[in-house]
Amino acid sequence: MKLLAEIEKDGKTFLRERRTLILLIAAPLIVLLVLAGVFGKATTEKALPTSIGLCDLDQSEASALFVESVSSHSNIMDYSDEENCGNFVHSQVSQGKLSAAIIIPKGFQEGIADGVSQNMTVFLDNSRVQISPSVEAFLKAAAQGTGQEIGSGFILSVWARLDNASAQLDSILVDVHASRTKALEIQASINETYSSLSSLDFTTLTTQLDAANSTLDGTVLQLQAAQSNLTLMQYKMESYDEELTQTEYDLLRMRAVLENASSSISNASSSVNCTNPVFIPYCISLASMNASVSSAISDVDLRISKINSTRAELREINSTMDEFRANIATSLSETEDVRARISSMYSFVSSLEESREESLSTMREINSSAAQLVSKSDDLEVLILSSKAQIREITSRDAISVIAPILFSSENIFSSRTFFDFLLPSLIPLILMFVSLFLASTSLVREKNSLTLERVYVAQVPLWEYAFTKIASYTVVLSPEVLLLLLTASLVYGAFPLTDTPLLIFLAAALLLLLFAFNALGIVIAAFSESEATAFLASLVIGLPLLFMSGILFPFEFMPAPIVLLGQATPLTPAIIAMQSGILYATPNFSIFITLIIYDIVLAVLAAGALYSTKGRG
Amino acid sequence: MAKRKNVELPPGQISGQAGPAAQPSPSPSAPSSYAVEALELVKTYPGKVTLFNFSLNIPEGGIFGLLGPNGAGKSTFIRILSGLEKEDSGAFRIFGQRPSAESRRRIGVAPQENCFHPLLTCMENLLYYGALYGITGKKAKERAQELINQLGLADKKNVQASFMSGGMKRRLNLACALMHEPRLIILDEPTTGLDPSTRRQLWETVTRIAATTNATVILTTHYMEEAEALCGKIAFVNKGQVAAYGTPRELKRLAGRELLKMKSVPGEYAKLEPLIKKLPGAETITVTEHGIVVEAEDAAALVSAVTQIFMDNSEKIIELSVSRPSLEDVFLKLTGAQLKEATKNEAAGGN
Repeated sequence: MKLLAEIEKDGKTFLRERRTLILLIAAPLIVLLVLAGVFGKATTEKALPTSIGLCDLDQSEASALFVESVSSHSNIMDYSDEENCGNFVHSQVSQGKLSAAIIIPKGFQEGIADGVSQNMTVFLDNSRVQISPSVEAFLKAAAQGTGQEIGSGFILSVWARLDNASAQLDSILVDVHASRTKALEIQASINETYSSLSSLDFTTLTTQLDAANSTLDGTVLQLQAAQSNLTLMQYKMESYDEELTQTEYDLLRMRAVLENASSSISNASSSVNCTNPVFIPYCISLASMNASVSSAISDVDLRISKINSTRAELREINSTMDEFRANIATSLSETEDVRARISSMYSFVSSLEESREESLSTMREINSSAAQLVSKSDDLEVLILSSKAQIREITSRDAISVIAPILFSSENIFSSRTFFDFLLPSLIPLILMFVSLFLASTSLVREKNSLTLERVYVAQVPLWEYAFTKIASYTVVLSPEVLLLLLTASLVYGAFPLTDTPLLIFLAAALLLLLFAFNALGIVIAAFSESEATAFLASLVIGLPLLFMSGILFPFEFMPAPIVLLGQATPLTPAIIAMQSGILYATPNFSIFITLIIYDIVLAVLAAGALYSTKGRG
Repeated sequence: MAKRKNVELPPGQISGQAGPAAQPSPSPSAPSSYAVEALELVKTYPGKVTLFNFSLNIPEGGIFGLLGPNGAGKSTFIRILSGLEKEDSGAFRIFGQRPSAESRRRIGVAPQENCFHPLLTCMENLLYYGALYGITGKKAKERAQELINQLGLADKKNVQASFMSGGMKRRLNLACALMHEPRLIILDEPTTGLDPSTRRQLWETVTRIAATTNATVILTTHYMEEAEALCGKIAFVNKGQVAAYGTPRELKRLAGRELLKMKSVPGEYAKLEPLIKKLPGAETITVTEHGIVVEAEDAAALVSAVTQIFMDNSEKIIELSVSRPSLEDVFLKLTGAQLKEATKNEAAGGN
């Protein structure tokens, strides 16, 4: 009920305060009317031509081309005949007599022909904030247009050169292709040889040589064993010969003994009358003994003879063995030769293997080179074909498309709507911001100074409750203003169809949230203001920066980052965004309500805090 | 800025009352019969001490006057009571309760200035201030109508406050304070700036309200006659302290006796003096070349006897006056300065 009482009180107060009431209704409408007049021109309409001074020091076809391009958008004031025309046009611009001036340097055309970029001097009167950027823009556009014409001729000559280069690439491509084919042939041949060489089995050969070497070793060993055996046999045979000689000697001595015995027997027999019967048995024994001795001598002789024959055989055997030894020695000698040959065979096989590896390595390298050659040839062919394609692609392009690859085909989405149409969604929150700031701050200061506020304090109304009540009350009181502005925007300026009830509710809600925020801020201002004048000035001091930081008059894009942050951190900006989303873009941005509600809460808390901090200061 | 000192104040226990006519303190065990009990309140502003050890008990019921020059601290005391200011130190109770939103909602304040919305009518203002106390609807309308009738505002019920006369505005200012039927009504210099006739009317209104409601009325004023006419008890406030406290009669006694001044022809006062001295009640006789002055507790009672002595001695009375000490005299005696002068000086100092 306190809220209702506050609303009733504030409402009646405003209604009975005729000047305030008139201002509340009339001022916003007057502002809208004035701004509609000021910004009523359609954005698609051309601006009036601007005066641009010219100092053409070149007086060439190229400079004339540029001047002609510029003159389509502006009034060219040619001061080229003036003495020291550069300084002259500069002074004209600096004195505000011209919006801009161009100095075309001497040698302009020649420089372009020589491929040197030409620098034209442009003086801009940037104090004309609104005009200066557009003058600069169309001067740049004119320079670009002229540059295009000059550049297109140059590009066409380049195209011709590139076509020629493309033709030369064709013959290179044939050569490269032939090289590639030859490389492939070399590669095939090498692969075949490589395969053959690789199939050679040196291991078997080496194994066989090892076996031969081993056999040779065995043979040598056998020969050496035989030689040794022969030596042993000869040695034995020599000892046997010596024994035979000893035996012969013994036999000879035995024979001599036997002969002596035989002679003694013969002498004994001769010395006895063998006829005498007494001696007859003796004589017969002697005779038999003699016969035995003679037989023994014969045996000894036989034996001697046999020994001699054996010795002779031994000598033959020895001789044979000597021959055999000689043969063995020869054989051993020959085995050394064989070993030497096997050794040389080893070396040969080894060197042959090394040679094969080298050959294989060389062949691999050659093969790799050939493969690279083929690959490079492929790449080169692709490159040449690609280059040719690129050249074809480049030369098939329009020269203008190269100089100006991006062409604008702009379409004004909002057709021929006026500046005011774009400004209107921002103006309504702006007006309401000032109205609520002024109204809330001055009204509360009045209540404070007339001490009616003290009665509220005396009534022990909690300050947070009073702050909320007061903010809500001012918001309700100003809500007709919201409707009035929305109706005016819809019915007078056609900003949105009034029949679109959801949109109307969206816009009204956004504006009421805005009012709530600025009413709260107005209460904060009032709490610290001694008089209505102070509150009014404080509202201006706060409101004007918010206006400039809101992006209405000056885009955020041109502001320093901290200011952008500040600008976006005010309740005005989200309200403008909400209005733009609804009116201009017809896509109501409901999410912005969250931001506005947060601002409302924060500012309401601040308002309560401000009231609390100022209570009892008197 | 004085440092805040916490003072614990037991209910109904105020001691150390300043001033020659110190107020009797109630027994600690007795239930509080005071509307307000303040103990050693201190309130300072930069460069100025407004209240200094301000102790005062205001009994419940009747009209209590806070008398003092401008800037004495009366309004500051009232602002502290009503929660508009915070004391730096000291303590106070309202109807035996610690100061709180609830206890303060029993107070109705009619400030020195007219505090209402000039663009609203009488009825609208009263309904608005009633709503602040949660009085709404039919009850609010009935209460507003009752006050309008009681305060003689019926003709102005639907007139915008800004169009009303000064007296009517003061009544409306008072009515706004009474909407919620407060137990403690504070009238801060309610008649300042009013013509004598309107002032008299407002006195009647205040007296009627005090009589018809059981509320305690605290009236601050710097008009002695107003305090004397309306207040059962008065506290003299000066320089942030209670200088004296009591009924008007008690206070006036502080200033001295009543005086009977007589002038006659031929004026042989020397032979009259011993005769008058013999009269019962005559305390001091002073003879000057301009007449004879008799000091007595009740000077009026001596008039006929003194007149008879003059006539018996062939003295033709050419001037006779009885003068009683005024509250102004009390203030003079207590502070050594005229209340009007003090008010003027304070105002000049304040400016």
